[in-house]
Amino acid sequence: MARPLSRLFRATKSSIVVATCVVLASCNGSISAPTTTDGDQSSGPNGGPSGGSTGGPGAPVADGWPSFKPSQSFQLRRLTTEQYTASVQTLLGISTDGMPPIEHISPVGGFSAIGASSVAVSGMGVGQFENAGRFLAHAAMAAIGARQKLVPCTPTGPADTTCIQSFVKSFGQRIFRRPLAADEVTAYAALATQVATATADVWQGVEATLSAFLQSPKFLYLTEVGAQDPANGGRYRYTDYEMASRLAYFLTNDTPDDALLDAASAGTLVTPEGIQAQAARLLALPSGHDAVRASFTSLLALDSLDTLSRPVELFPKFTATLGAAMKQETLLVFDDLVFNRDGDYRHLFDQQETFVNSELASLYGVAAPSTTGFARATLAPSSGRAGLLGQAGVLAARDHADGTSPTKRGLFVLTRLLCQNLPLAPPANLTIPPPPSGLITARQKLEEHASNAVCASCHTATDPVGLSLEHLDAMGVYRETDHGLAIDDTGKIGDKQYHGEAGLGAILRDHPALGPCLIQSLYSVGVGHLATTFDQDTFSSMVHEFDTSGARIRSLLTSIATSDGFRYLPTPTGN
Amino acid sequence: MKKLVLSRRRLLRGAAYGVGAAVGLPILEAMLNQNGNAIAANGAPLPKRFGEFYWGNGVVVSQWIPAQTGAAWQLSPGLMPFVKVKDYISIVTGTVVYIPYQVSGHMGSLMAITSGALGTPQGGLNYSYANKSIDQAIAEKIGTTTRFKSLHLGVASTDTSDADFGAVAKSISHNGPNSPNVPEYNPVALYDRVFGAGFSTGTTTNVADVTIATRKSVLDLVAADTRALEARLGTNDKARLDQHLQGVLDLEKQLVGMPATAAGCTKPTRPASPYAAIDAEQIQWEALTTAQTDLLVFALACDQTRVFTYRFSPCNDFTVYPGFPTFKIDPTTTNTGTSMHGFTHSEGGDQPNVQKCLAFSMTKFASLLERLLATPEGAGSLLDNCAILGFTECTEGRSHNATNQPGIPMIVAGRAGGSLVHPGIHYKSGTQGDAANENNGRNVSVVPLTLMQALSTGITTWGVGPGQATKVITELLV
Repeated sequence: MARPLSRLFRATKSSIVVATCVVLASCNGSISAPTTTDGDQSSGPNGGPSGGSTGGPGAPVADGWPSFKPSQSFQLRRLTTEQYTASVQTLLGISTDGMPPIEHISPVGGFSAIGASSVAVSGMGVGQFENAGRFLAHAAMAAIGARQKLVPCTPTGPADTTCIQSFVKSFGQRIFRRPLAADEVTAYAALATQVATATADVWQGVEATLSAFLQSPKFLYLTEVGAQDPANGGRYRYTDYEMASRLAYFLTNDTPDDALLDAASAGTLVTPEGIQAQAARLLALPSGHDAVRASFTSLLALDSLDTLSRPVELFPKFTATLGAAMKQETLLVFDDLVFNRDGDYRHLFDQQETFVNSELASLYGVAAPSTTGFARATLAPSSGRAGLLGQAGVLAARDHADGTSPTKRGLFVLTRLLCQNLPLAPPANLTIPPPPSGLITARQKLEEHASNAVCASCHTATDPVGLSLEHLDAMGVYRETDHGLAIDDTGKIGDKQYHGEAGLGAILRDHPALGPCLIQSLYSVGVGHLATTFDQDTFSSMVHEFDTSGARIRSLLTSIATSDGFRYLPTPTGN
Repeated sequence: MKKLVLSRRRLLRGAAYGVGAAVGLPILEAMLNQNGNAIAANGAPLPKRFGEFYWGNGVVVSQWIPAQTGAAWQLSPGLMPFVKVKDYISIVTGTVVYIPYQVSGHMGSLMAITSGALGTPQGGLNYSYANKSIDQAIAEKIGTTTRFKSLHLGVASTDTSDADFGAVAKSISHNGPNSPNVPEYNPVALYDRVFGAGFSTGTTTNVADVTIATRKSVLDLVAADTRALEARLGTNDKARLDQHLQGVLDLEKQLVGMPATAAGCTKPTRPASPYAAIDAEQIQWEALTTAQTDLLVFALACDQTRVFTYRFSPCNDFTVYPGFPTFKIDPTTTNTGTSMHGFTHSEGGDQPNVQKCLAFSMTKFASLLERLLATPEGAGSLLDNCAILGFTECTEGRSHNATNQPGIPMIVAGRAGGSLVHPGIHYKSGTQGDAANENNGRNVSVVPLTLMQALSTGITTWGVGPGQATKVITELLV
């Protein structure tokens, strides 16, 4: 991979700063070694507007930009658990309550949707798909309303191929997200007849066929092989039906609806205009809102709030419903930003507006909403809170049950919001002495860590960020003291010093890595894999556009959907 | 040698924990030769089994590593739980990781130990396996004739750090990049998978069952679809889908059941509860471990699989062990909690609380071995035909050391059909490894390679690059 000299030079400079850590960097002989800021930058903006670097030792290099891997085509993407669940609900028209679990995709880049292009299903996972498929097929056949919708005719017996084939064709097209080939219709109809004959029950035949559809890799994976684009020098682009699936799972996290499949059939999903029209439509659907919520749930790793627990001895105000309320608050803020206000993403980090229910209102010390549920609220600047990190759950989701984790909080800010890679525990013999007694506050303990060179290699980057947030305890409650001692909220990120959560929010708002990091995450979710050199130009222009058009997420999602990287494949069979 | 008479009482004694009183009969006496060490019909030796038992966060060196080496070793305080099976275990210390992993003294070293290879970076803290794991390499050789190529189970499941670390945080068994064999933590689901439909107690297969025949027909079509799809894909994606196809074919095999040698078992009782975690910190340690261990022993005794991994505890979460409160109120102590991981960082000296957590894991490992020893097979016990690697990812959680002496603490249990030394020894590697540049101790990959040899797999090298071993620990072999 070609690297402009200037970039090499800058990467090297920042490596020098962390000489104590380069035990790591030298390991694979690659320049793409961890550095203090964002180590994985084997490449950077292609002359693009990385902007904002202040220069000097430790200066951010290509802030928030992905490390573009060698170009490769990704032709097989497994549905995530969320996508599978939404799809079967939509396709079958039944609830998935009681459905046996399916294999979870280990996240890459924080997202299962990115891991989806490299995951391989285990033997047990195949068994789980079978269990789920049988469960769902049985449930759909047992619910008369659902069955009538799926099978519009009433088969007279195993030999009623007309009715069986019409079911196979109509349902097959929906679940495979494209019309079935003739041999597929034959094979699926034959299964129905075979089982119907063996069991002397035609509905068992239909149920078996439904179960096979649900287990087929043609449903479980997006197959994205593409075809030549005659209008564009023979480049390979995703086909209409492939685009229907890409758009649907990116923008609604669900199977394509009829309108999208119609658009594919009409040949309108291979043009930016056609995509734009569908993207606008999809984003306005309830499932469009859900997809945005799901993306930010993953990005901010908010799922742990579902099961948040805090000992009442330490947190007397804690209740079992608080974690879910915290998650809802943050997702409402995103929904409002994206769909109501179409606002500036950066403003999320210093805005005083949020949403509260009565429980959160009491936690924040603001008036409770007049109705049940959530209502808009404005927190006073004197509350010591501002923006995303001031919302109770965003930090609490990193914490331990019995106290804050400044290290994990710092790690979250640096890796999730700014996409920095950190130097981590080197493979050396670390003899960490037992901590001295008498350390009380989190700052005292962690500063002891930082004074130990071995510990410092990891902790110097994360802790100064995390420790500045100590005013918010492990339940998101504002406090002045930690174990009776006054909290020192001095913080440092890169070479910038600040105080407290609001101080950090103001720095994040203007941080050059903030936008590229968000784009990196959402783009990778959209295309379903980590960015490669094939995506580099697309990425550059997207960062520029985001910067200059007010950092709006809805328009970012549309740009991703219409981008070259979303529409074209690098090579026909390059993997 | 006198043939052992199967005592129903002895079997019951072995099986009487938790899951129920049903008896899993091992390979039938009638099927064995006069010496009780081979199948009479074809003279084939009794099958060898491989297993892994993993616990997180290392040990407390001063309390765990035996003072003596060789055959004269004595149980250290930390190894006292193994008192009833001491002859059946060897302790291995002093082998180290040479793979220059970059991330986390837990996850990086775990990946290095289990795959013998350096992970491939995929952004942030996330590295993917570049090689299949030990158990899968072995399963390819000895796991192809049973219903399950391998089984994977665990106890403490609350680790959510895969959001940052990826698949390595989920399992010790991997088929390759981003393809973990995630442990089954739910004993009811484990029971249903192994002893539900397709489990055959007779000498015939199950194809006569209408429901199973239907499921098989469905899977035939799924397999055909999978093959059709494969034809359209490039190499990498084809390989991924091929694994899916293998899963479908294996599932068909599991449904049809296995006649003959696997026969002779009665089913265990279905566990009464999944014993699900209470929250992110508390799990039902005792009940869950009992149920899981029990099902594993039945599955092995009934020859449903010959390869297993038992991921007892994770390294990087904050699960709290039995006997500890789930939080600390004392304001003068650290706030990293009462989890084992918390204690490894907060305690000084001999880390008594870490020892308590570790003692729990060791007790449960020992009880698995006791159960296997109490299950007769042929002239001996099931444990005689097992080779089990017990290990953790670093010397001590406090130091995260994996690359220097005293190396990775390991336990090799069982006799692998007579191929492993008995009574066991304490093998302590010298500082000079097999290669000239290995001067911190022998490469940890020599341990799995030794077991691969003991299991007659025909595997002669294990690991990649600096993780590669070509020599074995001859002291452990007979």
